Amino acid sequence: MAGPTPFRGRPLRRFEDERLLRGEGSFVDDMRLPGMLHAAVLRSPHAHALVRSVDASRARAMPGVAAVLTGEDTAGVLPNIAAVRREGMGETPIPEHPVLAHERVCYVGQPVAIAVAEDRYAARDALDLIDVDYEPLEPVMDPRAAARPDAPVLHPGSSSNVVMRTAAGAGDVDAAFAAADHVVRASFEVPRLAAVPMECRATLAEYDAGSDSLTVWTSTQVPHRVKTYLASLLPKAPGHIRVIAPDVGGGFGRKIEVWPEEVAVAYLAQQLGRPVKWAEDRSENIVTGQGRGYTADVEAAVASDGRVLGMRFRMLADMGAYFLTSTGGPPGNAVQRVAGPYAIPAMDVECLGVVTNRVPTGPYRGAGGPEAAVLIERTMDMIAAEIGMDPVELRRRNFIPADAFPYTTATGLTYDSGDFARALDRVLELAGYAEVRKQQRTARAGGPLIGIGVATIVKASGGKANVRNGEARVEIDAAGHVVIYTDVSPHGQGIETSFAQIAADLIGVPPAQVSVRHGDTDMLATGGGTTSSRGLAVGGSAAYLALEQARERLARAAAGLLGCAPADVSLADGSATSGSSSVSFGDVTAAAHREDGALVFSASYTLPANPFAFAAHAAVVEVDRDTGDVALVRFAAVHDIGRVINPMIVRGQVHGGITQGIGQALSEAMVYDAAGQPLTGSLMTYGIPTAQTMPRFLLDQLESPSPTNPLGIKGIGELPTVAAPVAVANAVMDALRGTTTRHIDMPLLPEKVWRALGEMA
Amino acid sequence: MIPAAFDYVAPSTVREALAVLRSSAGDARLLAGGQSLIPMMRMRLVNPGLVVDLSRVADLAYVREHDGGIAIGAMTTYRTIETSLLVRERFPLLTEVASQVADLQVRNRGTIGGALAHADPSADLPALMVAADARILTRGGGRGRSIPATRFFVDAFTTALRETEIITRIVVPAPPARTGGSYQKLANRASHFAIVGVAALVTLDAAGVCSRVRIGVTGAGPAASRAQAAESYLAGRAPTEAALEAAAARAGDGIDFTDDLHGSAAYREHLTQRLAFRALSAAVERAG
Repeated sequence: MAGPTPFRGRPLRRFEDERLLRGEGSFVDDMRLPGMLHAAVLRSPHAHALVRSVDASRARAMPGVAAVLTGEDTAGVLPNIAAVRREGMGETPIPEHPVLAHERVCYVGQPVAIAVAEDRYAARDALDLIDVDYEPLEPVMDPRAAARPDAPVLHPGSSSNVVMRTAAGAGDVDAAFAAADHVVRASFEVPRLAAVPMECRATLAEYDAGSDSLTVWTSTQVPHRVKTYLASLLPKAPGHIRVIAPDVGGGFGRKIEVWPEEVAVAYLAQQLGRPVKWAEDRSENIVTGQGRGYTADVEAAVASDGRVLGMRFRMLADMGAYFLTSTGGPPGNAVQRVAGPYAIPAMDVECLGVVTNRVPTGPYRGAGGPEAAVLIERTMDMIAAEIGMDPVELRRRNFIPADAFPYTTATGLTYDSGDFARALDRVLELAGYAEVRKQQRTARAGGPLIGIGVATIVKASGGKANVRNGEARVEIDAAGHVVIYTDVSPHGQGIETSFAQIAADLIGVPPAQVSVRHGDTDMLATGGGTTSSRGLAVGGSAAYLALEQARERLARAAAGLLGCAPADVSLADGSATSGSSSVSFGDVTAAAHREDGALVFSASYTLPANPFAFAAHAAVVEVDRDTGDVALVRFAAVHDIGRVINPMIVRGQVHGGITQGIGQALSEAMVYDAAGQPLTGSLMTYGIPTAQTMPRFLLDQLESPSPTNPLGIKGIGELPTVAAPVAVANAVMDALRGTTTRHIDMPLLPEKVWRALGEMA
Repeated sequence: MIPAAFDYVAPSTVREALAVLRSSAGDARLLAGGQSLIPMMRMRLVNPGLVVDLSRVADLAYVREHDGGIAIGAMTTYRTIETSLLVRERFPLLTEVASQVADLQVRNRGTIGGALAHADPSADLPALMVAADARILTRGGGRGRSIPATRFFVDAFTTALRETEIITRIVVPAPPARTGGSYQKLANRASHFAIVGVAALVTLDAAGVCSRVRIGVTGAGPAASRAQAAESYLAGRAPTEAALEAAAARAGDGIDFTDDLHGSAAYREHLTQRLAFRALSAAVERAG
């Protein structure tokens, strides 16, 4: 029960920030244990090669080197990292990632050996003394070519490079095309991106033989998944495994994984009986931590009034050489999310997962959403251009109306709530849509080309049905300190603050008296970590249920002190009140303790269905006619994420998400040459956006509370990253409407835009 | 990102530094800010046996008046140049170029001498150095040398500097009266280096005719160079739009355009011409 001054909706400063800004956070690489050794990883310099031999004798003889582990040592000892079976994988064997390469390497950056030494300098030097004899093979780099039936097959024993097929759809698509007044066709490429979290991957493992227990500190979003996998992968499973995610500096989905290095480090700590730490560098992170990588052919059947009657999507996802635990996830999301916010009656969507000689992909902020948004939202703009309708009007005509919820799309997603037209109207107002259109008509000849683009997108939070359960436990001591244990594993989301706000409203505890503990598998039996924008919708709801039990118990204790019925007690702002009498929160918790001893409240929660958040973004750009350079002059965004606990945290998520999306639009792409060498393996060549190139963001939000969870929450984490890239792309293509170029794939680098400018109609 | 083992020495005079260089038989690298050397060492692209840190050498960091122009110590940071009132007064274009280098963190550490010796083909400063008739003063190998910037940049990451030579000072002569300058750059979105950068200095005579034109181009080819065909076309002409266009069309003459991930040769050639036009136009405007 909310008190007289609810904490929900207050922009409380994040409790996390003081320690982080003072440099007092504790990340894995900050940790030092007595006797700790340091690991460095030797990686394949080839995209595809036979490994004829690995000779580590010189490295092993180097002073300070404790051990060198090669694929020969681990073959038959450490099993491959088992891929998660998913819908669409069928009978085809799924290539699983070996911990260390044995006999063959399949991508540049694949771990081949690990050296462990007294310090990280010696460990790194030892890598130069490992002699590997490679016999390079022809790499499979182009997913379209690799998917053809006659293509050379990457993995011996496989019959095809297509290892996965996911599909979605309903309705009579052929009839829709037969009835169409216009058919719009387009092909797209959504390149691979590097996630570039501020903190790269790092793992520290310590094995205690006496108690047969292994403790692993690792920079992960999913400590319980790492624990489960270690238990099954380590040949001598320790009696107890504890995985801890301490402070984690971002993940963006690429830490929803069980990495070969994590397994190798844990194994080495157990073998050597000394703690082993590994922390990768930025280039290792860029070369191994990637998502997206799609090509697609799209067809839309459109009526003359702009209604989209049906669509076909044929997508290829570049999975990389192996499937890690999360590699197979995003394509399944993408095939459903191409429906967007539109009432399209007939859809036929297919995505084939293709193996190539690149690092495995996996979820990256949006996980299938941004790639789907590119396909549907670029196509909507191309339809508008084809039939001569304003793209905003086209969207309005195809939106699912506000009174149609719950609404199930032809791709099988059930949207819970929303008011898409209202959010779009608001973002157009913020961006000054009408004025920009007027400006375009009166722009001076020779000046920059002005473009405005919108994107309207829907994003689920909470993940697929099998991960929509969460756990929480609330413990309250006699003095009134509240500890919330959550299975959510935050790495920048501000959960320590927002959960304290939820507690303050429910049980009246001052937020500063609440500790939120997370990221430790010893705290709770299971846990989904932080993925799929699930933090508040799943984890927050589980905490809410546990806090409700606490409220009921504390109300009873307060009623005893106040001489009233529990129902008459209000718990708010550090006290319990009934009528004109009140007692402090600490008095209430002390009384409850005297009666019960420990105050412990546990809850599990399963989110019954996904809440769907909505975003409308609008970008205004100026394109330099001479150079093709794109300047973002305005960016407006409206999000409908249901109830908001802390608007300042939401704003931070939105700023980061939009910026990351603008990176995808304007500068980011993992580029490989034909031999499979990454050409963008450092931040000198891989272009992440910086604050100095960002415009001011004009933001607003709507609040359609989700009926799916007790807090009315929809997740914000990924939403802005889904909408922003294609809003920018639509704006740039709007600026280029005088050319014959209908589409340019992202990133919209100046040279590509300049080439399009050369084709003025 | 851990460099191979190396020895480190931080001499306090140029003489000491030169002695160390002479005795290290080509195995030494000078550390002059480290904004390029340190990343290259961390990636093990260069593995010097000895790093000679020049940050403690006395009297290498200054901006001084010199014959009406400016003399800049080799260890002067971009940031010092960018914020120097003397530079702003004598050669505002140098302020402009320095302020466009990378980001503030880099400008706080990187030095002019380090940048010129490194000779990154996409660096900003070399474009201005060649346009401004700057001279690079060195010591080592007998008498010191005064090398014109136009002869200093030989190829990508290659200069006229000898292994046992140290840059001590950069002299930038004052431009004649009624000179305007402009630097136009299209920055790489990842590195912020110039895909192409063009620095132009135009001097107008009493009749408003271009009496002296200097154009320096960076990023386009393997080394920063003067666009002499464009310069000589414009010199002696009135700066009409047509004349500026015709000059700009010659700005890429003689350049062996680089073709790489960041830009095709054709795009670089186009940028050289367009940025030259913009730089010349702005320079004329500023020459008043």
